[in-house]
Amino acid sequence: MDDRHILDEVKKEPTYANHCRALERIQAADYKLPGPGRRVGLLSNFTVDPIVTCLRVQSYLNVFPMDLYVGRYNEYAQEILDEGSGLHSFAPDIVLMILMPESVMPGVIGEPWQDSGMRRRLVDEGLERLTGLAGALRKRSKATILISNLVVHELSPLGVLEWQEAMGIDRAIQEFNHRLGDWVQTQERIHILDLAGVCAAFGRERAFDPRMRLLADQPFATSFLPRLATEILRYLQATTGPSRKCLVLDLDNTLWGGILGEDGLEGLRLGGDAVGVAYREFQKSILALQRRGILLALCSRNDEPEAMKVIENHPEMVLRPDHFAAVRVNWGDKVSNIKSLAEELNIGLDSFVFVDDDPFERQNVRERLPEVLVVDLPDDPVFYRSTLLNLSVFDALHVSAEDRARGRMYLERRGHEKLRAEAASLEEYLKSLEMEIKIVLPEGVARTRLFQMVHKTNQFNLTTPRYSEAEFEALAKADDHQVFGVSVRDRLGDSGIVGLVVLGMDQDRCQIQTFLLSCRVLGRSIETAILAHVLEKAREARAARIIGRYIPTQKNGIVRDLYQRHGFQLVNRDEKAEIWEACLSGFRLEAPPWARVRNS
Amino acid sequence: MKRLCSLVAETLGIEASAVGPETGPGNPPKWDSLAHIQLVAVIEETYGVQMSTDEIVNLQCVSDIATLLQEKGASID
Repeated sequence: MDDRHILDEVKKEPTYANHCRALERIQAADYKLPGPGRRVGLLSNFTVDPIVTCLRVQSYLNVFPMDLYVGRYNEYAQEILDEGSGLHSFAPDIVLMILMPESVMPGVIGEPWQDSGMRRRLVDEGLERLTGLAGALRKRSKATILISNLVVHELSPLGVLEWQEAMGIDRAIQEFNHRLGDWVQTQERIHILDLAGVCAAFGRERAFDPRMRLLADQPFATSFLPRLATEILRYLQATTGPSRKCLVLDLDNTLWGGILGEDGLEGLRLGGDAVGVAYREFQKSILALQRRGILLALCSRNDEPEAMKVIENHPEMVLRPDHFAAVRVNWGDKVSNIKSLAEELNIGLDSFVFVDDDPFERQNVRERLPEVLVVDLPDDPVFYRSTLLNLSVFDALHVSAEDRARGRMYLERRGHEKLRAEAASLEEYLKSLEMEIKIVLPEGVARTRLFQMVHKTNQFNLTTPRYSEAEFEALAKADDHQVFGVSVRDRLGDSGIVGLVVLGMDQDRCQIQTFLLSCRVLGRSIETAILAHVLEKAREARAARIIGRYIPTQKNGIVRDLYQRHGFQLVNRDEKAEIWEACLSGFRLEAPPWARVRNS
Repeated sequence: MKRLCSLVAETLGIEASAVGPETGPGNPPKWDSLAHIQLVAVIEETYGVQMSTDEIVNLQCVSDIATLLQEKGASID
């Protein structure tokens, strides 16, 4: 049987029964997703097996390879504190803690006669215990930690009295959740999984089943389990940041109602009536994504000047010309337009999400560019917004200042292209940019950005390592390693942090373990400037040789000849990697005068 | 009955031929207390019925399940 068909039934009808059946079939066929899985440890204080069944199937449905360790029943504290526990020997990349309130705050629900003062104490003590455990876990593990907030498994037993009391039961849980949220704000590597929000969205009365709770210590209703697993998986996927970078948008009947060429600017539906307002709301959620660092591109069959006039002048437009990193408004084929967008923006087709109301266009793109994620817009524009919000590919657990500024940076790049066209020679152009290249230390937000680059940079990336957050943190602190970032600013704008280098110092050898650079700044000899800086560092460390590695991937062909171009000698090559070397005595590597690194 | 048996087999992950009217909790060993709950969940979802907590606990074998389902008006083929 073809492995993919194993999932057809559960994809069509995601019931719990179909999840159980799918998992049996997956195991019987020994079906495995390609690639190494993320190692996920799951800790809880109730029976999680039914959630695990759904979670495993969901990981196949979402092509998210995962190795799962399920902690012993209600022994989450022991799993965390005992360094020899199953959890720690599993060495997870992510630890997920899903807890029900009773063991965090004993009696808070089970003894509804308690008074407000008692509940307040329970909140204080519960927070102290849980944050203490989470802190202990971070110290003992390199994993990214996801803690669920708390949810009451029924409507408040206090009834109408709930909010008449100083500290009702619901309120105690909410207080706990708020304070846990505040605490996480100040913590690295610890994030909240909003279980309370997921249950509320499904409906608290529908999400729980007291029979299951009392028979098996599993509080959730069967019909809720698939949804719960889907939401949990979103968080797991989000630990490495958004998996797609660019949203490609159609105009007619997508960003506004009607067809510009037939209805004219005045005839478009945008704002005003219910459907018009729905288009506006859709645009607002798109703008929110843009502000988080997702690039927007237009791809529409229209006359460009007419379309741009609407985008610039229509009073109800939310998205304006400056929000788009690239524009393809013409009568050409959308497939070639998307390909040329990929070239202009310098990102792979597998970073694109395509949104178009026309099923024909969608099918065309889906068939000819299978790497592009094609969104099926519903017929009623009122549901465009929720369709977009339900996409998990843009999920992230943190948004850096760099992310927030990305749209602007691409806009500045559009300025660069223009300036380049005006400058007589490339050298003259590069000089005219007045570039400032600075070294950035891996601290605070800079480290967050550098860590994101490790996972997002595919093209200019010599060795493509995918460090976990904790591994990266440890490298940044290690004495025998030097980790630094590179930021670039020029006359047209600030590109922010664009590069990362990790050097390993080993006696007389300086090894370039990681060298990556954002494609936004290629073609300006910045890589040469960085290598010259590495040379300086190596001399400071009294190294005799610099060693660089090139590990070919499907995407990094762009750096195949990097070391060769810079005078390194090839000393070894096998099917996995090439080793390049340069002896420091007499070795010269000079960056052009317009690209020189400054220590900041 | 055949459909019910194959549902039980699929959920427990055992051969369909190993499930008959007499099959029940503890025999085969894979039908443990947790599997029992999962099985009930699957059966409720599939046949659109709801069992009471005591009914769930008192199910001794597949034919008990069939009887209960018939009492609740579900059709067994």
